[in-house]
Amino acid sequence: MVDLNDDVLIAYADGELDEKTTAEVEAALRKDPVAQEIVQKFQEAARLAGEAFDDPMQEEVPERLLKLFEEPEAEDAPQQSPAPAASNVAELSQIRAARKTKSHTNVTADEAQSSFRRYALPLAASVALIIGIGGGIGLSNFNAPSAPGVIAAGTIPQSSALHAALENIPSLQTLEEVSQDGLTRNQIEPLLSFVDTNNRHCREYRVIGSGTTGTQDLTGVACRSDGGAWTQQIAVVQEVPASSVYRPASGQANSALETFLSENMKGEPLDDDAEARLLGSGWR
Amino acid sequence: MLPRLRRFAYALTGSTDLGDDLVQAGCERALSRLDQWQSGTRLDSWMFRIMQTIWIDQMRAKKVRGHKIDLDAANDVAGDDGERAMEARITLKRVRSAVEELPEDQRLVLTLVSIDGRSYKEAAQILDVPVGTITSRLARARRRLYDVAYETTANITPIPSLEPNNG
Repeated sequence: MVDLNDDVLIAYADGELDEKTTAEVEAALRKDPVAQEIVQKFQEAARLAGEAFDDPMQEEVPERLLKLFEEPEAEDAPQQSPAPAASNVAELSQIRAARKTKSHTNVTADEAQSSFRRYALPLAASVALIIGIGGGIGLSNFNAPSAPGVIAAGTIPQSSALHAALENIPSLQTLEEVSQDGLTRNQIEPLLSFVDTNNRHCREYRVIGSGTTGTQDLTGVACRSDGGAWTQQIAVVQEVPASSVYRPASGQANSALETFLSENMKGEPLDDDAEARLLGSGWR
Repeated sequence: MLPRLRRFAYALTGSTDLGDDLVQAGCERALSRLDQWQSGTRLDSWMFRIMQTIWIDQMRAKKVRGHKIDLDAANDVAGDDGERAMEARITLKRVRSAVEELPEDQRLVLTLVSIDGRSYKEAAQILDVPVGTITSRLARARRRLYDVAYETTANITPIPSLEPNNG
């Protein structure tokens, strides 16, 4: 029989005990109203702690924090603000126009698909911004819905579905990956392809991972090395806990991504034909 | 991740402004040390650890310890949206005071587990202590928090104790 004490009761209250101990504690609790009260009050204390500091989860992230991530490790002037707005706006409108054209010409992108696009999606209550320069996201980690905000370092693993999607899937088509237990799924959708200022082939993509605890919505850019490895350059992650309510868009996270695109894209995004040629030739 | 870092920092520092300063310091340090981050490990856990280190350093530098708990919290709460809502806000304000008054080791554990929702194991890894330490610190923190939150609320009694000489 388990000894009831504060340590056991709080671990029970937090669901931290293994199955066997949990059953023992429950048996002991039935005969111990004081211990029951302790468990209930430990849970209430946790609820209070969560609520008391919840404001940042409901608010927009202040500009000064977002700014920290806006500059992709600029070596010359880390404090400098992004390029003049006018040039950004011009290029971004081109990007949008290009996307629009593509979504209309792409036969497989049906209505439901396009309403899933990020411009149509209200930003989550929690907009998170993670930028790993030269880092990458590993879908194996992204798979874990209990651990939102996870970004794995390094190149996107060649065995991952994300790698396969970047390598083979035309923009605005979706590859779906379902975990073995069926509880987690990732929808991977390349959004556009372009050539960056270092003459690498790059793709913007979106990964929506959903699991029992919520949804994680990542939009990122990866570039391909000559050796065939895709490396993530930037990623914007929105976490949507299952319990949370969508709030109106802030646009801040998207603007960081778009600043990145406008600064790193050489010319305009590749059109469907150019992209199809690259997909067909293994990106030669 | 940023909202979670902000919530964590808010709970540690007791104010959103100081919290954002801490997030900023943490992010700057993290960005300057990206090369030290071990690939394959969780970026968020690493960030929490950096922020926690900065915060502890600041605490030790300033020796900010032992404020009086603000029992006049009620006076600061404005608005009159019903007695119950008012009471709830006073309670949450007391919770924040109580958290601010906790010893820093308890506050860190409470913040990681009960505010950020980490498992005991994850918290133990971030703080580099055994899981048993997490459990006992957490129990003490939650007792204290509950009792302070409802200290003056009628009909709510403190958390009882199972040990006869500990209550």
